[in-house]
Amino acid sequence: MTNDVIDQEDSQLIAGAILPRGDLISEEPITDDFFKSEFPWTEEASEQLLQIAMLPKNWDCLGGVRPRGEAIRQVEQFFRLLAAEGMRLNKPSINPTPAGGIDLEWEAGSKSFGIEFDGGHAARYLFEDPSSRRSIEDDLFPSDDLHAVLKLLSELQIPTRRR
Amino acid sequence: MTCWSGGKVSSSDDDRIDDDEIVYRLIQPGTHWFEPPDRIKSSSFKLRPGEMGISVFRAAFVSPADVRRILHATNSYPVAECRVGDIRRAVKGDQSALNLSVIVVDRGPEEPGHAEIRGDMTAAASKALSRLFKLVPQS
Repeated sequence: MTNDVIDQEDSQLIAGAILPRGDLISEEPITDDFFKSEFPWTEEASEQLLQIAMLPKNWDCLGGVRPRGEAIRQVEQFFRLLAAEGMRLNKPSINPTPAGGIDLEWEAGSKSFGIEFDGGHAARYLFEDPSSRRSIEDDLFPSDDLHAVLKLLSELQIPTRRR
Repeated sequence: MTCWSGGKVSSSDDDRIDDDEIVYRLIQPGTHWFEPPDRIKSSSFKLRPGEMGISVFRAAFVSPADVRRILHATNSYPVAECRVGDIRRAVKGDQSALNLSVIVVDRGPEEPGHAEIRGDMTAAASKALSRLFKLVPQS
């Protein structure tokens, strides 16, 4: 995705597509053909999420809470949205958090982008690039514009090969 | 002594943890549904509901094997280590100080050497800790 696409001010892309405003978000399965064709790592990520969903209480030996189904659905929705926006990304690391959420982390060179979905009405994200002394951490609410988040994430995209 | 739900915070000078001390942290296991165990991620340094700090154990009191035994973890759970001074001097990606502290939180004789990393446990703090801690090779 180019920054021109991300910068389109007239397009509607709000976090409510991922985060619930009160109604449950879509429970469509992650394995639709369109999504599979966008990311080569979808199947692996889907399997990982399935296994994470089955973790028992205290899975980390430190009192960790079972991952919430809603958090997993939010991750699936986020992946779907990235695919729909044409983002070229490697597979993120996907880990459960001790509080029942799911952490996604992308790293490319000195840059990193992480976002935690906990199944609630907000997600927390962090973009860091020590080489340019940047650290941006914020909450993402259903009414927030997603373009700012996608613009940060676009800095970790896989470079397009020249012919 | 001040009491917290997860143990007693010591205010005694005798319990001050020196910057040169090493602390251990139990890390999420590297089974097939998690990420490879050689990658320490931010999620290993996030708080559980009700927690006030990130639980660690002082190497002056316990070994990595002791940490697993205390927490009833199998050998598939890696242990990572870090110098206390490095935690106290941890910075965000923009190089601003996180001002984390490492303090003794006494959980009794069954958990010797227990301490906690305290401070504003933001995502930036979790990320910084994931960068600082290094895996202890399995013996």
